Amino acid sequence: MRPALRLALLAVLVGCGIALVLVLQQQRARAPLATTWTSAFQVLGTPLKLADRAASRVLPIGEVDEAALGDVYLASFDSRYDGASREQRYVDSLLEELRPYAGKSFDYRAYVVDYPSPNAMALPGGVILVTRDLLTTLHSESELFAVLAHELGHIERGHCFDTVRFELLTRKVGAEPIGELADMAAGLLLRHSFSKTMEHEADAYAYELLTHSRYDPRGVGLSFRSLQQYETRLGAAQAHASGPLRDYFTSHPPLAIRAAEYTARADAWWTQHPAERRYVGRRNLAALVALDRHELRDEWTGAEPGPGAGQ
Amino acid sequence: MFDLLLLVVLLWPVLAIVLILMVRRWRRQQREALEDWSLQVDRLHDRVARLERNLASLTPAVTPTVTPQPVPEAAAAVAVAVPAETPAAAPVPEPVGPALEEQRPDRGWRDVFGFEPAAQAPATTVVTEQEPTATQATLEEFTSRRRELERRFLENWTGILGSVVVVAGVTFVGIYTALRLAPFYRFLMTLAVAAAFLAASFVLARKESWRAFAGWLRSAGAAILLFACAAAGGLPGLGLQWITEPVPALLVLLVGIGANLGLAYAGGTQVAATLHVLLSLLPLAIVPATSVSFALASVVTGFGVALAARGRWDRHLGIVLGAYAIFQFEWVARTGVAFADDTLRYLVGGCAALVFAAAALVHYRKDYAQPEPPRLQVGVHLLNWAALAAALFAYLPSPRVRGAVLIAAAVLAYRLARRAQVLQLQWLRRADLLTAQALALLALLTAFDFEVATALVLWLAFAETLAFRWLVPRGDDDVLELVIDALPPLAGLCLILCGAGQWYLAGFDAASMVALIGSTVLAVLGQRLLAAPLAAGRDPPDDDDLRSLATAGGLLGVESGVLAVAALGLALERPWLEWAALGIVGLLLGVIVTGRERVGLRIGVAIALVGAHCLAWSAWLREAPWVAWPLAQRVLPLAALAGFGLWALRSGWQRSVTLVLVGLTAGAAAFLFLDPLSYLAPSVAWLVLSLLALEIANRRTGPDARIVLGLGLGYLAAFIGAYALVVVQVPVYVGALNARLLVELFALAVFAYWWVFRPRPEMADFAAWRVAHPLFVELILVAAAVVVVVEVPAQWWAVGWAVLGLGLLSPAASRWLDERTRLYSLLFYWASIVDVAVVLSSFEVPSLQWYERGELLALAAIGLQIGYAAWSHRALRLQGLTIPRPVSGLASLAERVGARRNLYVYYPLFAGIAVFLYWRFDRSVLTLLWAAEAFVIFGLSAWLRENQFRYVALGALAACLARLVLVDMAEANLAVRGIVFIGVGLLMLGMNAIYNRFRARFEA
Repeated sequence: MRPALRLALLAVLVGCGIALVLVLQQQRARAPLATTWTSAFQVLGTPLKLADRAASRVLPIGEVDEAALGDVYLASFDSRYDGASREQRYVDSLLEELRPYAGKSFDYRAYVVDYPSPNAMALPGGVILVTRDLLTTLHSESELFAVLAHELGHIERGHCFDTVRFELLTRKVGAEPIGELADMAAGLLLRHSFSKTMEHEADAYAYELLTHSRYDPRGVGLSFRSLQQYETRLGAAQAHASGPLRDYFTSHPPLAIRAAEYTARADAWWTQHPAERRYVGRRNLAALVALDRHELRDEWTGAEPGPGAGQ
Repeated sequence: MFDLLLLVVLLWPVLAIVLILMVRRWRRQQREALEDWSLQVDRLHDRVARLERNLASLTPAVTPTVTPQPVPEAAAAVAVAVPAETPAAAPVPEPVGPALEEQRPDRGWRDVFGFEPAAQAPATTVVTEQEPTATQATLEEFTSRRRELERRFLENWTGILGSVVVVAGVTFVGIYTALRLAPFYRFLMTLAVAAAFLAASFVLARKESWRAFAGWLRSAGAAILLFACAAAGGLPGLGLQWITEPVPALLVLLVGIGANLGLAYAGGTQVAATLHVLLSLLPLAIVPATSVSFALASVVTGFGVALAARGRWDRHLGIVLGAYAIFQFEWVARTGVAFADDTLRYLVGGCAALVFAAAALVHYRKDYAQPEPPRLQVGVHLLNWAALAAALFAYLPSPRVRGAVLIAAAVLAYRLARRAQVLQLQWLRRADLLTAQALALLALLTAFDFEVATALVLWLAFAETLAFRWLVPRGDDDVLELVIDALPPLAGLCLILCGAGQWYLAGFDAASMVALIGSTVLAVLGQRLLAAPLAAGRDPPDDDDLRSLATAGGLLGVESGVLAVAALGLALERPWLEWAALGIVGLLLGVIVTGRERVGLRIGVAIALVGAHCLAWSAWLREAPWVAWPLAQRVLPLAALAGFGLWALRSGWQRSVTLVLVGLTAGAAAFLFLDPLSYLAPSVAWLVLSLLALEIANRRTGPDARIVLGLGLGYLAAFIGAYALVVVQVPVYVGALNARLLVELFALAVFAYWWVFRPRPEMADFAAWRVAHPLFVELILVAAAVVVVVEVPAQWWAVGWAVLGLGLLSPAASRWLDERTRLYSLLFYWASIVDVAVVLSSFEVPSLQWYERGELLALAAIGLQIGYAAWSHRALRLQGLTIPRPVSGLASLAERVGARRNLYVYYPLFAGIAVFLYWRFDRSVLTLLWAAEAFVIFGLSAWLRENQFRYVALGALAACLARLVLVDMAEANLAVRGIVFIGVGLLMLGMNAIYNRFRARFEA
């Protein structure tokens, strides 16, 4: 390369770098965490999870089998289903709102369960569990919708059954009775979380779903923020002590990162869709009445967050 | 077990006695046996002699005609074997020693038969004569030693022990008589015994042979006298006290002491003098501890010291001074609260000082002039000075007075050392100079009484050691030079430790900091002082010369930097830290610029620079986030310091260190200035810095270029680290613009610039460049893959990998990057296939729009994969690729793929598509879809003229037909079954048409 050309290229690159810094300083963005290995491990874990999935596909258990497994869960949870409960009816309404986005042909059902913390879980075959505390921890219907969408993402993207399949593969078990399989899968999924990569995929799924829905995409980020506030109230929100070992073994990405990422994405989405109106449903959640039952005019928000958009 | 041990411990005397008796008995038995054997040997000799005589009388003519012959083997065997039988024939005792064992078997018979050659006879004779000679020598030596021991015992220890025994006996008698006589009479009786001893000694002293014994008798008498005098005044419990008033008692005691001191003088020997002086001190240690008793003890000791002047009585001097020191310990312990009285302390201090000062003068005599004095002599001298110093330090109550007196003592010692030099007492000069130094340092310790900071005291000590070095002219006393040279670095080390302790425990302290700064200055001056001789008459010593570095000057040079760091450490939390660093370290740099003797200083400066920078960075990072202007006020002085360092350090590794510090400061400053603006900005700045470093490295030469290149690579590493830990966490949108993506693209551009950069030959030869630069292709590709994973939604990854694969397969990639990109294109292609088969086969997109469905993206990816496979048929040339060593494992992959391309390129694609179809679509249409895939493969075989694909396609078609019949006929509903059959049939017709149309291709 000729020196003049090289210097010109250097000048262009340096100029680009300076310009980039100038662009960046407009946002004055702060990192959610000073440092963390979580995101790096998540990226590095992508090929490993791909290998996991490829290995699990060796077992010829398909969607039909997952649906059969789901039927077992449905039969089990139906016995405890309280259709008269306001919480249950509210969650059922939101699930109806979600159902059109599902690509798999499962009979999706959500159950409100008593559990001493705000949480939600997904089981193979289209079963979603929502704890009662979650309904009081979140601040708006869009947030709850985002959480349900997140669990739906686990099922839709095959995380539940991939995990079960991989467990079966590692245990080298053959054809087991469906009941035993269901017990094993439930125990596995309730005890152990999905991987960071799977959580990230489910987050992305939820965000994507909300952008296509009637709800405010900010709901994803705000739901994580609500959970973060809950942990703070509980005193369990230790300052995220980053360390390679700790970050490697943690199953979920830190809530601070998840909240910041999806808040930023939602803000960018609003920038691209300034004319859009989306529903927040803060009072809907408080009253446990879903949007399709009772629409509140002031719960609609625009690019500038309305009164119901945040906390 | 314990009981057994206890028993052994208790009964050991009995056991020892029994053991001794057993040994003695055994030895007696051995002796008797030996005597018995000797008797039998003598008898045997007699018999042999008789036989010889008989033989001589019987055969007088035979002997001369017999020629001596060597003993035949058989005869020798007999000769050896016969003695074993001999005891049976005639009882012969067992041989006593080896000599006899060798001689006896042959000698008797040979002598008897006359076969022994005449020449051999003396051999046995010599052996028998040597044995008693060696034994005699041993015996004589043993006797000599025994006599010497006896002589010594008789000459010395009998006297001493005898005196002690006599005194003990008289004591017992005194105690006994205490039951019977009044104290005064007991006193008189004791005096009478003493007088008897003395009288006997005078009588015996007239005879030469009894003179020594008489001397000991005299000493014993004097001791008894002293005992009686002391007891008369009040030794408790002995019953000899008849005086109750202290003054008379003291006078009586003085009489005893005087008598003993007189005998000490009159004895004329060292032993006698020592004994009587010690005896004189003993009662003074028993009587009540008052100033009088201390003064008397001092007088007694002083007299003992004066006696030492009669000859080279160093043992006497040492014992007397040691006893005096012990006396003082005992006296102080008994004094108790009274010792708090200042007057008393001054008094005893004065007494002790007089005694020890007097003792110090003993050695200043001509007869002590010798090059290598005995250790005892030196030890006594040093002990005396140490005792003097300790006495002054302990007794003088006022710190001022104590300090002044100690300094005066130091001056005195120094003056005496000068005197010793005049007298050519080299060892004395050494001892006194070291003493003077020790006294001066001890005097400085009194500063603690004025609550002066430790660092300040140590600074004074540092200054004193340097002043001492300056005062004492250099000589040829290696030991002295070594010690005096070592003291300043040692003081500097203490200051460093003190500074570190202060920093760790208490933080900022103005006095300590001033002391440490002053120490830095002193260290520089000291370095000049101590390094000057190194530079005299030759080139200035360099830091590379380890021998020069290990000298006191070199060490002080190094310490100057460490002291500067210690001083700055105290100011860690102060806003003027960097200015202080500029001042202190700048001073050191200035010295280097102006000085000639720089040994150690350059290392010190490097340490100071590193320390100052580390402290500053630490302070900056702890106080982040920063506002620009306050930060600039702190960065600028440090930058100025670094710039000054670069100017001052023109060469050497210290310059390289400074250059590294400059680079690191730039990186740190970029972070601190830009992080408050955006957490992504520092990483961009580091990329820009890496570009600038690369350009500068290309323009510089030598080590500078190497360091700057390393800095450039370091900036890249910093970016990668920051990306992994910070940047990748969340995206940043400026409006709708993903700024993180911009950063990533900028990084890719920078990596590409590094890759296409062609340095000048010198830089291209740097190890860092040769190792790192070839891997930039891999870096770029990994970065591109990371960007795809981080920024692209998962459903697009398969497409992304396929596009990357195609891009890398292109000639442009080979030209701009490297030819090995073709191999990497295959990896991306495989990734795309796996993604389609594993991920997209079950990937659901939550969108109601048809064009956002995962199936379409999978089809797009498959299309790109087919395109890659087709293009690779022509473009994937993997022969002759240059693979860098760290990824050399890929070379074998390239060889394999090059050898069996279809296996590695096409069949993964076919399998991936089949799997995708299996997982993605309903089983009812699976046969149709797989048949369609077989159709595509068939067409591909015609296009690429690969007959094996045709076989694969036909095989797959056969499998589809089998599935059609065996599975679909049974499971699928009628409509689907019909569609599948129609579809498969149409595909088969299509294949037939293709075959007929391109028959030539297939047959070719």
